[in-house]
Amino acid sequence: MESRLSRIRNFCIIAHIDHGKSTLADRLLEKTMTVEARSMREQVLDSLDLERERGITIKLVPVQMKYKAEDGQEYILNLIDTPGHVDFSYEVSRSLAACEGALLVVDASQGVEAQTVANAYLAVEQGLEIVPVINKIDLPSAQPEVVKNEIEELIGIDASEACLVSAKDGTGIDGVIQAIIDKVPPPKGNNDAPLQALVFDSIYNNYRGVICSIRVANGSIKPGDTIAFMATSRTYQVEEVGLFRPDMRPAEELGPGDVGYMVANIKSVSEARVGDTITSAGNPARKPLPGYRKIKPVVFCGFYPVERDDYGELREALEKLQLNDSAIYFEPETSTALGFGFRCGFLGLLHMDIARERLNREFDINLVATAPNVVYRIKCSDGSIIEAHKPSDFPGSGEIEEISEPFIRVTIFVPGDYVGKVMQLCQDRRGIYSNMDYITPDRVRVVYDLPLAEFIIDFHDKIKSVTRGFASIDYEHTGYRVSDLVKVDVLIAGDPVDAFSFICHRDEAYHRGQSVVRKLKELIPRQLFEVPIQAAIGKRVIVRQNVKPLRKDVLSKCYGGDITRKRKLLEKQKEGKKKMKQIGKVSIPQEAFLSFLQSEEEGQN
Amino acid sequence: MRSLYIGGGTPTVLSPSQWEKLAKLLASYFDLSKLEEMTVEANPESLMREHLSFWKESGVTRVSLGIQSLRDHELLRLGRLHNAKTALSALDACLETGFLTSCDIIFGIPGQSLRDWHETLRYLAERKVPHVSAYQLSIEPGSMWADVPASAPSDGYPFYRWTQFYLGHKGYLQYEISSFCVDSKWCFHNLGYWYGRDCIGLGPSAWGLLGGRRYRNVRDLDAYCRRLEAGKSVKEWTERLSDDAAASESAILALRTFWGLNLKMYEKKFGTERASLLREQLDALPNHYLLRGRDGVALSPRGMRVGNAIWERLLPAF
Repeated sequence: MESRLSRIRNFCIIAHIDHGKSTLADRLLEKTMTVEARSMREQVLDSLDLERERGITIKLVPVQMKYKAEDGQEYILNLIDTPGHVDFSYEVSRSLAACEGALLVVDASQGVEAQTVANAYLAVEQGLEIVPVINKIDLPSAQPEVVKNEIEELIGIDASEACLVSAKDGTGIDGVIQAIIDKVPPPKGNNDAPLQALVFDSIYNNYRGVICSIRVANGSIKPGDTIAFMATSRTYQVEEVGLFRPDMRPAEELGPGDVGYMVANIKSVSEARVGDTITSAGNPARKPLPGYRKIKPVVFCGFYPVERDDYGELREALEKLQLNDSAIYFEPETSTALGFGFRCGFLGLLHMDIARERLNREFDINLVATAPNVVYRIKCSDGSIIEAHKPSDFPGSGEIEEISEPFIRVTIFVPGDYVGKVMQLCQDRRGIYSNMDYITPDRVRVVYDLPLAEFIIDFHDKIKSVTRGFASIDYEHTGYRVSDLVKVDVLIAGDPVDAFSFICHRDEAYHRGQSVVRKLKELIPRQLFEVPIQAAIGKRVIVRQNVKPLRKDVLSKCYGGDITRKRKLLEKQKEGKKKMKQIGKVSIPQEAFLSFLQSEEEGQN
Repeated sequence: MRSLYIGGGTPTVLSPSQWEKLAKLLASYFDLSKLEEMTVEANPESLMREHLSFWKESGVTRVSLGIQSLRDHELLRLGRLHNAKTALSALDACLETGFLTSCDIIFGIPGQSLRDWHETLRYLAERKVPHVSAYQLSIEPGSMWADVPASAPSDGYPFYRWTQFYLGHKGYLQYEISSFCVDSKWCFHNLGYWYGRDCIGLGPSAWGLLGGRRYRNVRDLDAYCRRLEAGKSVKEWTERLSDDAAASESAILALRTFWGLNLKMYEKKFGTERASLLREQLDALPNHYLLRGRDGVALSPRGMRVGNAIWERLLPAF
C-alpha cells in the first residue's frame, strides 16, 4: 500500500485568467495520453459552454492521468482544476485541500497578478508544495527572469528552478510533469483507519443525482458501503465510485490518496456540500477533515421574469440551478415595478452574472436583474439586530442605533503611472488606505479597505478604465464595520416609493438623491397636474424637482369617421397607461423602475 | 333633415354641369329648401366662379375652403396644388358671393415658424372670415414627412396656444377643440357629430350614424357602384357601442365643445351610476381645466389643450 501511495501525486493549478491554465492542462492530458489527440478540443476540462466562452473556469473538473516516468515507475497524477475568481475562493480553498501540491502558472510577459497572489497564499497556508511554472515563454515580450523575481518577491518561494514552458507549442511540458513527480509530496493516509473523504465539489446530474468529487484521506469507499456526511449527518448507500479520465470510469474502490467521484442517490447538492467530510456510517471517523464552513451569500439582487407569466418557470429554473450550485440563495419577492420575482443571494458579482446567464441559456428564461446590493446589519435602539437585504427592510430612522456594512480588503496591482488614479478612485468610493509597495520598479501593489457596496456598483469597470485595463484586482471579505449610512426615500407627489429608495453614506445622500430625482424627472411623463419628486432622509427633504403639468395633448380633428378612430387611439393611450404603475395619482412608466433598478450606477458618477 | 354637408375629398373637381346633375338627384330625394345649413367643401385650385354662382342658386349656405396655409413654402411642403395667391382669391370670391365661409388651416408643418402661423391667422382675422378650423398636422410614420426633422416643437403647444389667444382677441369663440367662429357662426352640421345626432352617409367611404349604429360605406368607387347595382348594402363596416362605451363616448364628444356636457341630461340618458362615476372623474381634475355651469360642465381653454389626458379618464374601465 505504501508503494501505491508513493506513486500518487495530487495537484492543482493556480493561475490568473488568461495566463494559460486551461491550455497547460490540455497539454498535460495530451502528454499523458489521457485524452486521445483526435478527441482533443480546447479547454477540455471546462465543461460549461460559458466557461469556454469566457475563458474562465467556474466548476472544478478533476482528472486522473497516468505517466510512465524516467525511473520506470507508472505514476498516477490527479489534477484538480480550480476556479480563478475570488467569488469562488471557498471552492478554491476546498480543492486546494484535496492536493499536496500546486502548479503556480505565471504569464512570462504579464507577471504576477493580484488573484494569483491571493490563491498562492491560500496554497502556502494549506501547506501545499508550490511548483512555479512560467508560461508563454515563446512570446517576444517574455521576461522570465523578471517574472522569477516577482514570484520570489511576492510569494516568497524559490523560483530559480521554475519550469519554463510554452503551453501553446508544447515546450517544457515534460519538465513540468517531472517537477510534479519530484517536488509534490505523495499523499499520506491509512487504509485501515475509518473512512474520511473530503467533498471538494458536487454537481447535479439529471440522471444520476448528485455526483460528488471526493478526495479520500483515510480508509476506503466502495459501492454498497453506507456512508454519512459529517456536517449534515445524513446517510446514503454508495452506488458507484470511480475515477475521472477525464470522463467518469467506475472503479471497484477508492483508497487513501485517491481522487475520484461517488454517486449515492443524493437528490440535491445542498445535501452534499463542498467541504463536508464523508465517513462510514457504521465506523465513523472521530473528527471531520478540517475547513468546512457554510458559505453565505454576500451580494443580493432581484431576478424577475420579463413576462410576468414566466414566474413559475423562473422558480423551477432557480430550483434546478440550486441543485447544482448550493451557494445560490433565493426567496420570493414582489416589486411595485416588476411584479413577482425572487431576491437572490450570490457569492459575488461574477457568481451572480453566471447564474443569470445560465438561467438564460440552460433554462431559456428571460429575466430582469435589479442592481445588486449588500446586506446591511442594523442595530436597533431596542438592542435587536436586523439584517437588511434591501432598503425596505430598514426600520424607521428613529429606531436605528447604528448601521454596519460589509467591507472588503482590495489589493490592486497596477503600473506605477496609474497609482494616482487608482487611489483617487478608492478615496471616492470611501476607501480606507491600508498600504502600498513597489513590487518591481514599475509595478505597485495598492491595498485599500473598501465598503463592499461601493465595490459592487461598478468598481471593477471603473478601475479597468482609469488604468486602461492594466490593473488586476483581488479582494477578501473582512467583515462588518459601522458606517454613517442613511436610507434615502424618494417621494413622488408626496408618496414614498419603495422601489426608488436607497442606502448610501450620509455625505453622498444629496448628490445621489439629486441624480435619482433628476433621472425620475426625465422618465415620468407630464401629467394633468404638477408632480413633485423629492428625496428625503427621514422627514427632511434634501432634493426636490417638479414634473411640470402637461401643456398640450389633444386630438385636433374629430368628425364622423374620426370618432371611432380617435376613440381607439384614446383606448390605446389608456391601455398604455395601464402598464404604468399608479402611485397615488401619478402614473409611472415601467421604464422608470427598470432603468433605476438596472443602471442606477450610471447616474451616480 | 336639418343639414347637408357635401365634402370628403374635393367636390370642386365636379364640373358645373355635373353639379347640376347632383343637385337634381339630391332634390329628388330630400326637400333641400328646409335645410338650416348646407355646406360644400372646396379646394382653392379647382374652385371656379361658376361653382359659386351655381351653389348660390342651389341653396348652399356655407363653403368650407381648404386653404391650409397662406404661406407658399408651407403649401409646397404640404404638396398642395395652390399657392397663397390662389387661396386668397378663392377666399375673396367665396366671401363676395355671400357664403358663410370657413377656412381650414394647419399648424405643425415642418419649417413653419410661429411667425408664419400668425401671418395666416392674421389674414383670416383681417378679412373677418367667419369660421376657422385649425388642425395640427399629424405626421404618420412612413409618410413623406416622417424623415424630415420637425423644426416646430412636437406637441404644437405654442401654435395652439397662440391660436386660442389671438383668435380670441379678435372676437372669435373657440366653440370646439379645433373650431373657431365669430357671431355664432358655428357649423351646425359638425355640432351634430359631437352631440350624437343621426347622420346619413352617402357615397363611397362616407360615414353615418343611424339609430345608435355607426357605419362606413365601401371606399372604392367601382365597388360601391357594383354593390348598388347588385342591390346589396354598401356598408362595409358597422359598429354598435355597448351602453358603457356609448355613454363615455357621448361625454367625451360633448366635452370637445364650448357648451360641454349637460350632466342632468347625461344622468337621464345613461343612469345615475354612470353619472356619478363621471362626476367622480371630473371632480378629481384640477379646477382650472373645467368651466362649471348650473347643470353642465365644459373644458376651459386650458382643459381643451390637454383634452386627451382628460377624456382618457372618462373611458369605461375595461
